[in-house]
Amino acid sequence: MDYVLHLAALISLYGILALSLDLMLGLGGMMNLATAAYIGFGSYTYALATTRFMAPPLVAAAISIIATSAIACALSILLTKCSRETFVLATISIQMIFYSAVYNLEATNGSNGISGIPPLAIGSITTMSPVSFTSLCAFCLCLMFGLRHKLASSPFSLGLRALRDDDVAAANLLIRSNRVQPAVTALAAGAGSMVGILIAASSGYIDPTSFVLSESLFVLSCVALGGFESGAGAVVGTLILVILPDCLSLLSVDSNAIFHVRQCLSGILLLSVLRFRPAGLLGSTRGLE
Amino acid sequence: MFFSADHIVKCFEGNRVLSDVSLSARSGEILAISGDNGSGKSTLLNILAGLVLPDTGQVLTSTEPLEAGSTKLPGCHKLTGEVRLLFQFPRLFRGLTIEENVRAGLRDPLRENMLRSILPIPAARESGARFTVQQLLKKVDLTSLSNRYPHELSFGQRKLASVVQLLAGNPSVVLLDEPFAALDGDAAMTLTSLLAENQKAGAIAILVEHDLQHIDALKTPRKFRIEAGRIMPLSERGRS
Repeated sequence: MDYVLHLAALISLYGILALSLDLMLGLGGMMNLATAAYIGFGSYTYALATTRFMAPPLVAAAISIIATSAIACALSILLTKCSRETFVLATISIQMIFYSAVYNLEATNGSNGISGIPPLAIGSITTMSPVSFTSLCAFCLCLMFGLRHKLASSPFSLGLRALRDDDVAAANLLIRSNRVQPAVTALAAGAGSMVGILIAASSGYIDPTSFVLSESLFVLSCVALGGFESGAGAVVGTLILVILPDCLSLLSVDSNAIFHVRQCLSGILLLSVLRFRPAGLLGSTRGLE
Repeated sequence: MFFSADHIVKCFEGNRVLSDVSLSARSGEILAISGDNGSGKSTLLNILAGLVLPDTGQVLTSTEPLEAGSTKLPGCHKLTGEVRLLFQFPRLFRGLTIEENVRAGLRDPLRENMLRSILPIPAARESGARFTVQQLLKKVDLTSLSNRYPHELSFGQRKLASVVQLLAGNPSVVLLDEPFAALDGDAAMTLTSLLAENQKAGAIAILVEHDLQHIDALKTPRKFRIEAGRIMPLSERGRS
């Protein structure tokens, strides 16, 4: 039972990240590879606020989300004039800088990480109980799904998608990238931070190895597999990529090789989808020539 | 509303494309500019639209009165987004339907405001926007294609959709780069009537066009020709 709950929580957490990346990439055309940095920043801010400054968990969580969103928004404003290629490189750089910083800084306790992080409790719901934690994660996933759906059908999405398709033509219609893109980046970063808080509050311990570039790439794979510009696609892609490797556990694969077999299978699956259905499993193909 | 370009000079890699080009227009005027290929027509429009910076000179808009005979604008200020350009090749957003493309052209602050977009939008506002878009599409006979994507339309239909997208925001100045190119007779007439309607509404239209027949059809007294980077009134001699 605990395993099923763990899996459901994992799907919910990655689902939130995939939905937030889909907002940036699917609707906004911004290939962001700093997702793990957002999660990490949220985790570390929460952990430091609660363990060093003894802030109440809920206050620490609010500070963490606001701080992550504000920093991501500021960075996005700096990057609005960049080309798409530069933007991708910049987000990889942000990811690398974050990892190096938390790995080497004394304040973050370097590679030893931070332990003794208090759980988050909202009324009777606490991140300590597997059932409550999974319910909280599932609730956050539903919230993110609803938010993404609302945004995708709003006038704001017209501005976002217009900038994605042709930024010069969008500027001609007075749709300003320095207004639209930082806003959606802040939302995605806030969602990433929320995931980071849930991870830190449930495990009570964090270290830099959880927030590496491969995590960002995994979230990107979920979106690419499920389909760009599709909320359901992002969730389905996550579901497949989280569950499929776990099915291998049922087979008699050598436990030392299982990690590499999982990676290979996920890669083959992703390549197959991108080859035969470039828009992803549930992504819209109507706008594609 | 007044619009002027003062002493515009533009060089590309040492080649002077525009030499001391000045022009001005007031509300309801149509300025038609002709010229050969490579004469600098499109460069001039891109500069007027603010997409390309001139080497020297400036583009100005003003809502204050213009003194008679003056080419300088009093209290002028830089471009404020009142100016929209129709590109030579339609640049519709490929991931948006035609209806969404036209709607993106409306001056709706919600296009840039994420927080307000999340909140419920009043039904009257939503239906008002839809009605405006449908009316515009009706004018260019694209109502039945409103749910199609740009690549599913012909070049002429895409061009007309671009025109209504442009006009959806009621810009004070409309710049059109070869608007009649590749349009058939009916589409050209539709475009001419849209421009006349826009003129009646008090907007300024500046268009560059290779084909003099289309310029004549606009019945505007303000016709110019660009030659060797210089702008001059279009005389009968210039037509030869």
